[in-house]
Amino acid sequence: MLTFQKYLRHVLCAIQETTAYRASYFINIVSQFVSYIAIFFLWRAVYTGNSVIGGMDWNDMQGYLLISLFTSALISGSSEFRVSRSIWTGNIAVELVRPVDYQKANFSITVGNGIAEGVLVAAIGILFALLIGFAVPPASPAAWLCFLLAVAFSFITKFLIVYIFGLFTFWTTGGMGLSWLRRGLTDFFSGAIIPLSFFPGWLKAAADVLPFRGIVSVPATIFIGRLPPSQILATFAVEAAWIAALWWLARLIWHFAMRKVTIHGG
Amino acid sequence: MNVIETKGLCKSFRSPLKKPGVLGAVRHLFRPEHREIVAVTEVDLAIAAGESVAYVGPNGAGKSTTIKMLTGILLPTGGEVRVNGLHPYHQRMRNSKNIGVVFGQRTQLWWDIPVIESFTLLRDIYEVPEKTYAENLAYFTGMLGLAELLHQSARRLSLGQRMRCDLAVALMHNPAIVFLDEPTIGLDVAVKERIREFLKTVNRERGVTIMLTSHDLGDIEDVCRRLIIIDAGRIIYDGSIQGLLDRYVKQRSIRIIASARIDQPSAARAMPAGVEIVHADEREMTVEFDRFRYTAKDVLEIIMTAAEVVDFQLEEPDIERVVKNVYEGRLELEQGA
Repeated sequence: MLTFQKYLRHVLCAIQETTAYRASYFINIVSQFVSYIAIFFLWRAVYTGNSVIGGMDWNDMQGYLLISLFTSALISGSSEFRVSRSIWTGNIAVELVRPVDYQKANFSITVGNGIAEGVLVAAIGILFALLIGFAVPPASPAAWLCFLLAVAFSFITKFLIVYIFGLFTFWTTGGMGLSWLRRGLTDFFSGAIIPLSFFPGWLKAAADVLPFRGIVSVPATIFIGRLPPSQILATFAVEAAWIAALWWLARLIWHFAMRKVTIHGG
Repeated sequence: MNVIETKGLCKSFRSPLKKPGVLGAVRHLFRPEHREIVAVTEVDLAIAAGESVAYVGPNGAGKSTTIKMLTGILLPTGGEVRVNGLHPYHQRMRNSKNIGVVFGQRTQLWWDIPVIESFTLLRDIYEVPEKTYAENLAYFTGMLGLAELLHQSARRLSLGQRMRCDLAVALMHNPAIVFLDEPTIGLDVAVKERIREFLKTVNRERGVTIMLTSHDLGDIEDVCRRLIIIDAGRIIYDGSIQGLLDRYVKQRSIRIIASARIDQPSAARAMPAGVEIVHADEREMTVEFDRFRYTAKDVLEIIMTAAEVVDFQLEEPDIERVVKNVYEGRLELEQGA
């Protein structure tokens, strides 16, 4: 109970932290929308003259883009750099002298940031959807439930990937290059840039076994009803297995990092 | 009972060895070379509950590295270490509940939320009972003058205000030991004074064991009764402050004022080996002498043969000078013992 309390408090503090600066809070969210508006119009241009591409019509695509925006916004820049920043500034020392599990504490903070930003992004997203007259939400309560579960899986998977890349800062000292690599891999293999159904067969096969698709493709295709219900359970099983694997992989990397590496800055 | 105990504690790092210039940097990219840097070697510590210990040494001597091993941040490369009977690294979570840590250059507070929220977070992290928390909060708020700071975000605090909050944070869960790594760095005299008073009080009233590193000798003399000096990773002195002076300070000095102009060349000739004029003016002179060979009376008599002394002042060796000698590598350790 007390253990839960301490991580819950991390979540609450992170919510406060995210909303502490209203200006940057809103700018952060608006900036994500701006880039998505560009992508939205790009796809609309692609769809003029084509009614169905890669098994998706324009209506599907709009839903897909909306969910892609939403899941990307849940873990934003501040979470991205928290681990690497605290490693290269050496501030991690302060976090290590407390009786908290670093990985769980970081997850809790990311949850807090995600809630603070996610609520607003979801609200703006719904507004956006109404504005463009798009309305194909999941048909049944069961589909909604699957979608929400997929969002939770998306969040945890993305956190773990971000966290693991952050830990590599122990060896590289700088976090920038790592973040670009992470972003490139995630954006491509999650389906954030191009839906996976557009991929050539061999590439799609690769994307299907990697953990990244859980971040965008799975929740988005569930949302628009393009993931056959018969496949949903198996998909979730694979995602859960990936989450377990990544969670322990992160632990393993942490274990080696702590042994090998010094604390920067005295 | 010893709350801190180490035997033969060692820590070495692998550090990249880069040749100078761009070429060296490029070469390092493809064929990295490393060398072993020994930060701490063969450190034996035995610190009892309730002690207040200053851990002193020049930059890079291994102070912070030792503290980081005792707080569980770094894994020693050799030797044994026990803090409250626990291994700080392998039992990090349990050990961290018994210790408080202040890093002068860092903060435990979250930048963007009010200080009181950081306190609440730490209360939950350390699982401090509500009653203890309320008592401690009242106690620290009074002693450190935190009342106006609690509702501001840490970002807005001055260094001194922040450090006061950080001290409260480090002690909120009633730790048995508090480690302070340069707690007064960059602070003004008034804040330093307040922090020293606070540390002395918690040491006296609550029996908290204090281990602090500092370059400020005022901190050391004021707060600590025991001094441990580390240099180049090795402990070279461990004992009382007075003991250090007694053992290692060879020189005392006398400053005199004469009624007439002093004839410097003849005064210099009058001084025997072990007595030296270190400063001379028209009618003023400072003489340093080996206190194991001469008494003050001997030296004064010699001076009186060369000058008409009207007033004199005996200067006692101070800790500052000794530590400076250590830093400059001028202290010969076995001398005068």
